[in-house]
Amino acid sequence: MDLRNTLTTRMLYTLLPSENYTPNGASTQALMAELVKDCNKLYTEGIDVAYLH
Amino acid sequence: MVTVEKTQKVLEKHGPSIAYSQSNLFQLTMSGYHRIAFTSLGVFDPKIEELASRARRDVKRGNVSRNLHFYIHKKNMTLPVATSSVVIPIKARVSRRFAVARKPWPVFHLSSWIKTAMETKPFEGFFLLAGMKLDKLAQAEDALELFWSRYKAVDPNTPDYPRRTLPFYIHGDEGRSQVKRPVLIISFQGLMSWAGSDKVNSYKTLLANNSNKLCILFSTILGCQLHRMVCLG
Repeated sequence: MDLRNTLTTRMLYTLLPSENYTPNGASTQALMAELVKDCNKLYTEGIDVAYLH
Repeated sequence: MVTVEKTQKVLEKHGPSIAYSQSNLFQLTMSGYHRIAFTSLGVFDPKIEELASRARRDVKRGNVSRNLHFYIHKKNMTLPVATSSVVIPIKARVSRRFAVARKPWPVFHLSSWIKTAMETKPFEGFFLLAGMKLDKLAQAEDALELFWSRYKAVDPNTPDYPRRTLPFYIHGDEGRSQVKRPVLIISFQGLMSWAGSDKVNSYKTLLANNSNKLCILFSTILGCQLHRMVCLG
């Protein structure tokens, strides 16, 4: 099975249409704050992965 | 002016998936390859071309969503990534007018992507560990250590556990939809290409007037530790 049959290696975080933006970029700042929180947790605590073999 | 010889050299060097040309819509048919189209300073991807041709065939744009889902699920190469939601302030329609309200917004956290990409068969880390699965973890760790040792020349702030820290790009860009409304897209990309340590996932020529320069500048490298592995069975 060819696992390389993929469109892209990008992993989507989110999409936000412009009609939903709030003034002063509050929406994107809140989204980025949540992203940073998750990434900080990944960097400091790591992630457990179960490997079944 | 782009000649066939130049194009062949590009194909020999990078393979059929990535080829560059300064000509507009220069097309070439070669034995062993399907139709190869070159667009102005862009990365050519045969999958994107197929996706675009499906959209072109749907003249009335009545089945765009159905065609996209059919294409994505055609070869059963999908991942069941968990959807999370974060509460953010957004402008939403409230009885004929727009108002700012705090509402849950769907996101795919990087942790969800990593967990799913590592644990789902038959991928098991293939897309994040330089084309190796978790059964070849030692080799993947060597590749990670090599990456961080090279990265140290650019930025001395390297992680404490380089053999178990996965590098990612984070990328934000505002594109335009079919009805010209801007859409903000935020995504991640693993630096360790599935094609192997000696290849990059994608790259573009950076020229003085090329807007791609901005994309690169807004990309930031972050590290994510995979510091405990639970092997069952």
